[in-house]
Amino acid sequence: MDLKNINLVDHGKTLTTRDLGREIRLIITKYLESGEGIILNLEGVELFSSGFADELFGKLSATYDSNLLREKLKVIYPKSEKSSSLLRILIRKAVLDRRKKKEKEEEGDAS
Amino acid sequence: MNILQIDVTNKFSVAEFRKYILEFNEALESRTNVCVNLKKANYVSIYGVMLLELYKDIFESKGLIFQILLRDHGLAKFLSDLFGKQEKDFERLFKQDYLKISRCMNSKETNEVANQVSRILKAHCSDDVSLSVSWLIGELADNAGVHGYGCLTSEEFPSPVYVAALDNAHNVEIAIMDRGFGIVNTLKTYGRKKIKGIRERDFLEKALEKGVSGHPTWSPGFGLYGTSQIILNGNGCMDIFSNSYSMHFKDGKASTSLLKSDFKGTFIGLRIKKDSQLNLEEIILASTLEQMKEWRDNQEVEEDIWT
Repeated sequence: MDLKNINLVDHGKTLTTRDLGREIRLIITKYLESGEGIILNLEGVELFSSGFADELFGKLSATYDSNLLREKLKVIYPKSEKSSSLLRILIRKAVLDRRKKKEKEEEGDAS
Repeated sequence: MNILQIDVTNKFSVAEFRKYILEFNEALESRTNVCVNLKKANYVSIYGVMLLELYKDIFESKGLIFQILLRDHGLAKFLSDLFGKQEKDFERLFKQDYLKISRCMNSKETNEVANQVSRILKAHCSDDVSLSVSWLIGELADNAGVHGYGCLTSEEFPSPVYVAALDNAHNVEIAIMDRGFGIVNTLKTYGRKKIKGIRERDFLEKALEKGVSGHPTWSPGFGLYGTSQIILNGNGCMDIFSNSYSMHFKDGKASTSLLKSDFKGTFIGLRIKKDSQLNLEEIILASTLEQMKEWRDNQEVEEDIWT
């Protein structure tokens, strides 16, 4: 299968804005919708804001089935252990925040 | 034409701005031009420069003049550059490095400026300080963009996010500002549940708590909380101006004052010691572990998707 490559470091080592996260999510969404696999390469990235992480990782996790994401979207972490560890935590936080938010919204709808 | 002349004889920083804000706003209201004379000032902080530049922009947008007079020697050369006057023979006094005031009009520009500040920080601070401060700039600048060029409310008009950074001897100084809706007004509009039973003058302090300064649909409210934790661990201090209030935060304590006149938007000035022991990962991880625990209490945690 032909995988689409997205190098986040093309946008800088520090990824700051929510708009940028949204822009990248929309590209990924387009590929996912057409059944394509994606490699999201974080090599060289040192940091992203919680808004960027929410817009990209949080919202993808709230929109798509986890199994589909695991199968189609491969994340490559930086070789630097420090950067890799920090980015993993930021992604985990974004996913948890978004799941929590979704759960609250669903509770609200049910009541 | 009437001109309001303000002679600054000692220094110009946040305290002096607090003193003059009423005069600036009244001059604006009465369409009076202003001349701030800094020729006798012996110190003007990066925060003072940014706040004066803000008023210069506001006055000019209304067809008025807001003149800033500087000496042509000594400290003035450094200030001239910060004020964007492009002195060619500028020398970095006290080995200072700086990002002169940048006005970001969109997300791309904000991202670029955040990366420039990161480079300055890396050149002058430890990895831990550089990473932590870069992170908080990203958080604050992104949020300022929502209020600045993003126009959170229908009453707002697109305006820049202002960012400046200075390596100043033992400290790193950062200033971030927008001309948007303001923290106090945002809490009143979007965070009513969070501020229930709290006096308005305590809203800025409340905004430093986790999950308070966010927005119901798009922001978890972690930026100001994380920033306050970094300030706390970095032996630093933070000044905020927003709407009718100003707040000084140091050693985990916040003191709030009522401004003589409203500040339209939000200004955040930060100072952090360059040799601080900061661990961004720990600060974020502590919050994430709490969430994990809450999550586990409710249901089984699915295997993480990407981590």
